Amino acid sequence: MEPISPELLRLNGISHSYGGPTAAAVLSATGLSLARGESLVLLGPSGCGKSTLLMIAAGLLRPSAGSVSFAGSPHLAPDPRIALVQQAYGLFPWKSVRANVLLGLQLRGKQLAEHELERMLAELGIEGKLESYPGQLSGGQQQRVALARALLLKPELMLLDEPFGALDSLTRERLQELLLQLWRREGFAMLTVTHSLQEAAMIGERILVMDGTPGRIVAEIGNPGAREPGHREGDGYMQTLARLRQAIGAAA
Amino acid sequence: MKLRWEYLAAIVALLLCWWLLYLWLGEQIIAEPRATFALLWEELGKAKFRAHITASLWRILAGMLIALAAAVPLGLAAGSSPRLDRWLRPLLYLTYPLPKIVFLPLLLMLMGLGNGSKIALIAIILFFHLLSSTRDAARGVPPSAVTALRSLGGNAWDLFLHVYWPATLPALFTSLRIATGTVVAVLFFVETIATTKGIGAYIYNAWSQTDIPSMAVGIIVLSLIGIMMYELFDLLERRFCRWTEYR
Repeated sequence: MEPISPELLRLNGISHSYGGPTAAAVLSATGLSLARGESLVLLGPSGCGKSTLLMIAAGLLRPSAGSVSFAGSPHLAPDPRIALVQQAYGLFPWKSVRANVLLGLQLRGKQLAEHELERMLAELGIEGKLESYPGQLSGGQQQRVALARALLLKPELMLLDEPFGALDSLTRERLQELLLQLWRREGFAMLTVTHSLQEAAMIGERILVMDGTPGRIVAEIGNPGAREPGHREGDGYMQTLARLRQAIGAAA
Repeated sequence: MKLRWEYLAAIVALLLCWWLLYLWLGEQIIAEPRATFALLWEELGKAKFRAHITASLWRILAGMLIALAAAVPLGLAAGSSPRLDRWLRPLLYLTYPLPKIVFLPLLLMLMGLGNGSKIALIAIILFFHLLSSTRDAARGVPPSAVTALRSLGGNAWDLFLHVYWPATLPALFTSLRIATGTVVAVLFFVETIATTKGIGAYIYNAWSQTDIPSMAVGIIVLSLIGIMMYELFDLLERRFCRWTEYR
């Protein structure tokens, strides 16, 4: 039996432009690799191509140039082992919470016992909301529903596009903690896009700083303490923040 | 039940207006309300009158079903596919403002004086309403919903079933409600041309005989058909688009 490679995702020499080869590029010769169970953050200002890179990693966008592999195979289309959580939650307003959460499983021909569903929602703090519509929920609750939908797929890779960007700071911190708990326990890898230094220092074991137009990676910063509970209160968090500020300052 | 009281108040206000008009203009032009309702009751007991209603309802239903079957898939496809929309848009923009009713003589020549030409005209007029609103609603579907569905592994059919169709349903009901008045007006018009069955024909005959009470009975029935359609679309929207209350 072939040993399982520790590398889960690899993007090599990715360039991309929307609207054909004559259009301005949003990404230029960018690459990254992500190990199984690792949490990697792409940090950068708006317009540097980090969300484009995430869509390419999700198999939702074909890059103009470069290659993508997932679990050792070429990756050009959505994969059932990958779950995506978007900033705008990506919930379907016309479906109840139950239908939203179960849609991913339904499309993959899978079923879930009612008690498992209730356990998951209770863990995410949205029990009793199964028959509600997204419009009846707060932003934080909607993002919890989006997380529940992604987690029920038992992904090997979770892609998060500015997942808490639309939330107030209190709710954001609570959800960051919740996400870290789930990540430590479930063992999936995470690739998170954010423009928040605090969020990057909080959840990324490795942080890739992006900048420029077309976007490229300008710095890589290690932050191994992110895996430890209570990381936010420790010196490591503050040091990472300082290094991030330095890297961004140098890039500018 | 606040809404029912408001409805009742509106009916009373309309009847009062009718009564005042009758007093002002006289029975040579406006029928006396109580006598009209008595005549309506009497007519409803006659199979011949009920056949007029059935003929009109059938024309509306058939025209509506044909328009829905043609316009909704095309509108959804155009609204979700920029490539198809590029071809459809000029066609739609050139044909939407045309007064379709002027094609009635052509339809009569092509399909004869029977039900076909009448149903076809209703269907054509409604088709453009539904096509335009379905296309616009599909174009307004949030990209995040499309991305979410695709990331969950959904294919093109799933996109229509779980995203485009439910997202455009409220706009479709709005369009049907708005078109109700037009459909009833067109129905009246087509039924006045070489037609023996239908409420339009009933009103036209009453008019030609200066039978003001019968004319009023026909107008009430045609209005009731319009109100029923409007309420039906409202009911269906409340049933199938409950989420719109929380937008």
